[in-house]
Amino acid sequence: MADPERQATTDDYLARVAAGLHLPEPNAGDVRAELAAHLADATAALIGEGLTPEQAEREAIARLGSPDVLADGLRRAQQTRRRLLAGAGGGIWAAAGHGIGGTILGYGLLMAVVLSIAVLGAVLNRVIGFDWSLDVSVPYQAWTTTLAAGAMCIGAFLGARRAVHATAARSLRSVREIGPWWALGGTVVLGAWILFILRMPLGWPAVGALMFIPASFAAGATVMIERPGPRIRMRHVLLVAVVGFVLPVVLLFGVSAQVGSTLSAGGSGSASYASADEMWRAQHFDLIGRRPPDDVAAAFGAGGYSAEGGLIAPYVEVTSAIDLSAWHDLRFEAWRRPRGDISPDPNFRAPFTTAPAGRVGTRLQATLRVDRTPGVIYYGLVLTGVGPDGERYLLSGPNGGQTAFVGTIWEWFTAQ
Amino acid sequence: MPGPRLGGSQLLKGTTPLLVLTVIGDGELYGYEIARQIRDRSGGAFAPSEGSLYPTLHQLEQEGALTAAWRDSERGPRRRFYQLTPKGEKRLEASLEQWTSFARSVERVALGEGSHG
Repeated sequence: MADPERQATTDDYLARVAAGLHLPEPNAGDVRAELAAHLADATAALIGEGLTPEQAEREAIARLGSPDVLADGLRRAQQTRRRLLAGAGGGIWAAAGHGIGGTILGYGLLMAVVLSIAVLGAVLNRVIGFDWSLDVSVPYQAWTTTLAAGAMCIGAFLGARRAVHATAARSLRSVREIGPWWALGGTVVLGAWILFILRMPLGWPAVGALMFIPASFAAGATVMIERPGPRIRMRHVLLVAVVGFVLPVVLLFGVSAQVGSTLSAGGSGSASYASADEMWRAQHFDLIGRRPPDDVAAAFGAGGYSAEGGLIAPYVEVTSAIDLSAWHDLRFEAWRRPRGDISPDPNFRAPFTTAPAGRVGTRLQATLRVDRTPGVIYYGLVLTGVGPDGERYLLSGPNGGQTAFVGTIWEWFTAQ
Repeated sequence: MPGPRLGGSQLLKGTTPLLVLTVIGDGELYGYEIARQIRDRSGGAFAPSEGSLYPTLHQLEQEGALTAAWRDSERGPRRRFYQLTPKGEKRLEASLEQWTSFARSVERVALGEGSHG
């Protein structure tokens, strides 16, 4: 019958070896059983040589050496290239799954935070008249990108964490050994993706948040990596989808009606001018060109534009009353304008983009891209031309529109 | 009379796989028996650290030089028996050839054997 004290010593030794193995249970069990059989054989042989059972067991254990060193050797023996490849595959799968799940969760959580801030702001506005609003120098599309990028940061952090643990488990390596490789690879891949591939509406907050995604991934793969992080399940995603998407949509339906009415009420003010020329100068149209004679202005009729993304196609109807042969360099111009105002922004002395106007039937028309200039949100489209006197005239417009820079971060920086 | 023990010697490092493959080459064995046979067959000169024996066995198994199977033994608990594979036989052959050539070269230098021109 086995001595319980001796059994405890052997069990402790085997438990310490098993704890350092990091092997899946069938393999770890095999190793334990193999070492237990070895210790039983060695102890029996040593007792046969004249040692007491206690001495024999101690000597048998001593001959196997440090349990940590033995476990390390056994673990390294199992670390094959095939296992590492399987680990890398499992890691990519885990990174994708938890990255997407984490992004959805993050989006819901951030929406809930934004909603809470909105509600708090509304309450403070009502109670103490606190005025709050988003920075209007950033287009709203770029705020949406910022929110999405924030959610992707959360997804990148959680995805990286699960990837490291999945790779470590399959390749039988420690998370500390695997983490830096995932951090390096993820930073390079995600960095290239957000710099050169991902095209989104951008503003400075969006650029900052997007550039934080690789850093977030690297942090997820290295910071306190022993903790595996939450396992994202479908019920979590559904819960956050309800809290973060459905509720805000329902609530924002009510808010949007109020915002719309506020904008309408606070629209353009009216001012009286002594002459049309005074009005022209006061509204900075002289930056664009001279005021045309009335008969010329009357010759350019109804206008408008169609838009597809950032590609704008303005047109102006031209009556037969004007002889365009005396006019040259007819072109459509897009000028920055302040929010809520159709006049050009006096801080800019030139249009941010132009396109020659071509005659199609009774129309003059062109196409322009308005989403390639950082910082432009509100713009006015005008038709200008150089008259018989060699001066440029503003012939039609402006027609107002709103845009945002759309492109990669690389394009954003190079367009500055 | 047994020769000097080389259990902890640097000389033994790197030869453990060769010794393991050699004793298993004579018939399937389990871990404790492998260690015992190496000790006995070397007259007690080679006593490979039992702690390095098992990582070596597992490494050789991963490389396909050995296969292992659990079986009942004549006495005591079930044992994990190791057997040489064809790949292991080739490796043993190559390792022996390499070792023999190495040992002869060392002998020639250390004992001053061979021609002096």
